[in-house]
Amino acid sequence: MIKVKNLVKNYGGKTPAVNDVTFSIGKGEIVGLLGPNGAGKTTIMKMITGYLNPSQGEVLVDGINTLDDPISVKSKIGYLPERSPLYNDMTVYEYLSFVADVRGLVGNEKYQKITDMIVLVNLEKVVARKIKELSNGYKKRVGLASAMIHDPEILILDEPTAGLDPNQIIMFRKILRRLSEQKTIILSTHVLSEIEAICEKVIIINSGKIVADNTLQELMENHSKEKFLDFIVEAEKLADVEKVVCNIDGAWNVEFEKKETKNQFRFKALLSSSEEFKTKLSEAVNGKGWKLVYAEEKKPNLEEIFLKLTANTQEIEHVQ
Amino acid sequence: MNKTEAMKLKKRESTVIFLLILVNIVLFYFLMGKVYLRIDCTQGKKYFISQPTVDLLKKIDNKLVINYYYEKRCKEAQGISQVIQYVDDMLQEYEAKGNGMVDYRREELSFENQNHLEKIAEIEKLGVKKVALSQSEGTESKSTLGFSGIVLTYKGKTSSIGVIFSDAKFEYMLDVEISKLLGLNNGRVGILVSSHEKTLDKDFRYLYQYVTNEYSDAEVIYSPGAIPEDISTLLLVGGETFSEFDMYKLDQFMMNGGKMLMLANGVKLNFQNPYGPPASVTENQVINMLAAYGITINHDLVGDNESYNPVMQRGSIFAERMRYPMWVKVIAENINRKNPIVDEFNEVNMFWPSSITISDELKDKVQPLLKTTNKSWSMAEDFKIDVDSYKYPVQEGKSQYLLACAYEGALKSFFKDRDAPTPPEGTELKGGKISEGNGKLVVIANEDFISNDFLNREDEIYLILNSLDWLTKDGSLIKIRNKGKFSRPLNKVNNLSMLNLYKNLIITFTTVIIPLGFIAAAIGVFTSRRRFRKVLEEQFAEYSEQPQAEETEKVEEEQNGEE
Amino acid sequence: MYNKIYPIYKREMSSYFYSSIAYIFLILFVFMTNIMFFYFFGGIFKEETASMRRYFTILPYVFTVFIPGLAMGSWAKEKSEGTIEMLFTYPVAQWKIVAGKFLAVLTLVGIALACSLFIPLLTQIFVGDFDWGQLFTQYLGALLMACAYIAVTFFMSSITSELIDSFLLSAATLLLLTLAGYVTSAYVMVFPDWLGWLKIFLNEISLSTHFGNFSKGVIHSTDVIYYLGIALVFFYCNIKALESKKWS
Repeated sequence: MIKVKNLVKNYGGKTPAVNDVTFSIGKGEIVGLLGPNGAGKTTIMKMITGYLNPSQGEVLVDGINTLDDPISVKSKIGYLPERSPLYNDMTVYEYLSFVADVRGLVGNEKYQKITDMIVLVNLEKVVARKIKELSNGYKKRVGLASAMIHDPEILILDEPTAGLDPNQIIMFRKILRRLSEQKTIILSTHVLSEIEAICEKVIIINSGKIVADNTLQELMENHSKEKFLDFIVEAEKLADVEKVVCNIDGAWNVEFEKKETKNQFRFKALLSSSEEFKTKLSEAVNGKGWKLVYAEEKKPNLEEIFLKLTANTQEIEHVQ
Repeated sequence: MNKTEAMKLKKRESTVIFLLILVNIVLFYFLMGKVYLRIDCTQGKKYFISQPTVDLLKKIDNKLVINYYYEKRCKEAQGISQVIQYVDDMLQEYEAKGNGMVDYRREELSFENQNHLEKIAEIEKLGVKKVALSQSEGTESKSTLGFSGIVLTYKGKTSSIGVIFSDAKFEYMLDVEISKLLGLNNGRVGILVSSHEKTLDKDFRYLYQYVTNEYSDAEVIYSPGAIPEDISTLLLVGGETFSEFDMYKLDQFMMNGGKMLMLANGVKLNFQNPYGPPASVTENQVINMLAAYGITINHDLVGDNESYNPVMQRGSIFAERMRYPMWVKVIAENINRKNPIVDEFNEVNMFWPSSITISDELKDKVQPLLKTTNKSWSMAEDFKIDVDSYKYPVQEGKSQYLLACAYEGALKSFFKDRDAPTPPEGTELKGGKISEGNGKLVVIANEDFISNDFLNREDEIYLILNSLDWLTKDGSLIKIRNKGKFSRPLNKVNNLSMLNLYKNLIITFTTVIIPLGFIAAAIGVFTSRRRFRKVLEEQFAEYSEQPQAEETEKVEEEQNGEE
Repeated sequence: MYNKIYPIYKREMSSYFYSSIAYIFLILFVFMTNIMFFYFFGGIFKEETASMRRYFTILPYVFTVFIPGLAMGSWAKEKSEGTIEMLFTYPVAQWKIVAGKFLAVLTLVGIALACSLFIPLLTQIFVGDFDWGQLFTQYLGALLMACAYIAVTFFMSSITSELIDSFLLSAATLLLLTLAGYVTSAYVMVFPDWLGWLKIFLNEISLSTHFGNFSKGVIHSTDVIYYLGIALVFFYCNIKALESKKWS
């Protein structure tokens, strides 16, 4: 359905925002674009929608190059930008009616579609309100409704749940799940639980490059050998502990998690060499006269995998 | 990847194409400056050649060369460059309509170019005049010499229009010159003012200027006894000072096929002596002569209760407009549309006019020109002319009076039944007495309206010039001179207070009511939008009622599941 | 195919008329211009002449303020609010989007001009006759001139993202182009001979000098081409400016 080949986008800085990205998405798939802020997710999406033109490479939607026939590509896609920009002085109904017009819906079909969308995303209560009076959640839903009004084959949603409260997020996910039966959906987020909850496939991007392109299951399996150490150190001052612990070899990343009690600090370490790290840790703790209260090796979840993949580009390349 | 490269190339190409288009537009623009299209939408097609000119050009049977010369720098002066453009446009039309007989040449000359100086000196001899163009500006004052003029050559004769710095009357001036070259013009105009108090220099200076401007060969004459042979048309103001012999000469001038524009007051106002009567009957032999011909200027003053020019008087705060029916304003519907002298006028002002009566004999032959409204009155004795007397309508206006008329045809001599008077000593009376002849006459029963004190619009001067044209020429050229030059007065309403009312109405409607209308429209749009929103809300309330409850339950479930 | 210009046009119109912009524009335009015409620049009733020429002498200067005021937000607002992202992901060709917006502004200016039509209309009915041929060319010229002004403002709006920048830039550009013709008139400044070309150039590019023929009652092909040319060039630049954002 969507093929992205060697996509490069250069905004003029030293390093391109999107650097040689290739992936393809099949029909009916629901794919999560995952990556830290500024990784290039939005840029990739904008290029797929035809809002931006690629500096190099190409985007094929249903076999059509976005540069060849932008209009027909655009008519296949429903797009919800990150901030969900809307015309604030219009009412919800007027806005949807305008989008329906632009999308070429006419007559009865138009009104039917508008009503369907309003019911689908539960906008009944605010249908006659001005958009500027709406809460963020409602604005997002209006955006979603307008993105789907022409029944597109492809839905591209940029951070659809950002800024929503948990209730609204759950509602949103439910809607997406309902939609995923018929549509190809690309969803960008930096919230991992979102991907776990909805997506079947995940593309992880860091600094403009793809670092993983797998189904969720595959991803978990690939990284099943990876381990991380959960440990608690009892000491006087957190700063001292952090200084020591973070400099121990044998881990990708050591991170302070939380304070268990006044003097107990919990850390999490992504291990590269389990034995080395453990020995050095106990040496260091003992040497300082602190106490290792608790330590346990665990299998990583998606979050840890993500952290690892996006921790440092060079190291990841080395791993791969 | 090739695709993107191709697109980039395309982008660059499109920039190039854009630049080419830009260049094309600029080129096209300048090309259109040379070969162009003009559509004149004005009434009377001011900027196009007119029918009388086309007719005139048909009479040309030999090569007519029209040379247009102008100084290069004139083109840079803004107002004048448009005139040059206009002259050029018109002359191209002359050439096109000239059946191959008109040859138009345009020459741009410059004082700075040594090769041109000789040519400039040559055309200066032919009549093209140098004019100082620029005006002083700030501390610096600069003036450049420039010229813009036409030299015409036809059958070895040349003639010229020396100064053309305005598009007004251009076509007319050119046509007059052409018809002169074609030998279609006959006779000169003489100007004669005869009054005990007024003189041409002092009281009719503007009249003199306009007439001599138009008829450069016009001559001022001091008595009918001294009318030169080649004068065919006489512009006569008054006639009080004429002797019996003068009258005889004037009568014979008319009997010889003379043409005369006569302006005279039937009643003379007395401004000099504040203790005497305010006005008195004019003693004017010419009026008697005209009466004998059949056109009588009555010794009365006419007032128009419906259409008049108000007198401005200083009030307590503002100048007040006082009612004054004797300053008659002749309105469009009382102007003879069939006569070329006045057919395009919309309004003519007369000040203390007298009425004209036509004898039964001439009744059908005289063409009336200007009349008062039928709510007018006349006053033949006990003249009151002060403004206060007319503050309120005192006289009932019942009838309509003739103020100006034109006549062409047989005239019977004033001296038909009398002997010719004896000439004053030293002069000899040549030739015998003629008792019957054909003459052409325009009579206007008012002289004040063209005096310096009252003349403030061009339209009244056009009445004089048109009359002279009608007398001297066949009349077709009258139309051209006035082309586009007539002011369009606001003359549909005669009643002053009504006029003011209408003006205020129009200003109020267009500047206040319309914006208020927009405010009303805004309120309308907002309320209707609100109503529409309410309807929508109600409509969708039905949808929302049931599924909404279900929805919240589900949300709760999900939330539980999530945890 | 379903015409996509209309929905854009309709949305623009509704955004003008559902907010106060349209009303404030129309009210101020009509009120200010008429006040200037009736009381300050020797209009119809001061000269007692049935002619609208004075009105059209003021018009270029009125346009330099009012058209940027009306059209400054066309792109700048879309950009600052991010709605441009939605707009350009709809399946509508860019020129159609520009055209829709353009027509909406032109309609508003047209309405404002139509309101002034009541002056000759009422005058004709009550007090004096107009030359309607001349009026026709005057209004035609005014509309063409408005096209050029709108196109310039649109372009300026498309290269700025702040309303005030957009307004100041376009008003300044338009004022310069309008005044160019005024400066060359002998009353303002005397050009030395060696700058003669500049004078001609200024005269040719000025937005106001080309209105002269329309104002007299003559439709001259050069003037029509000038206004349409300016409008088209800036229209094209506008599209290109928006397109270049895609490549940046």
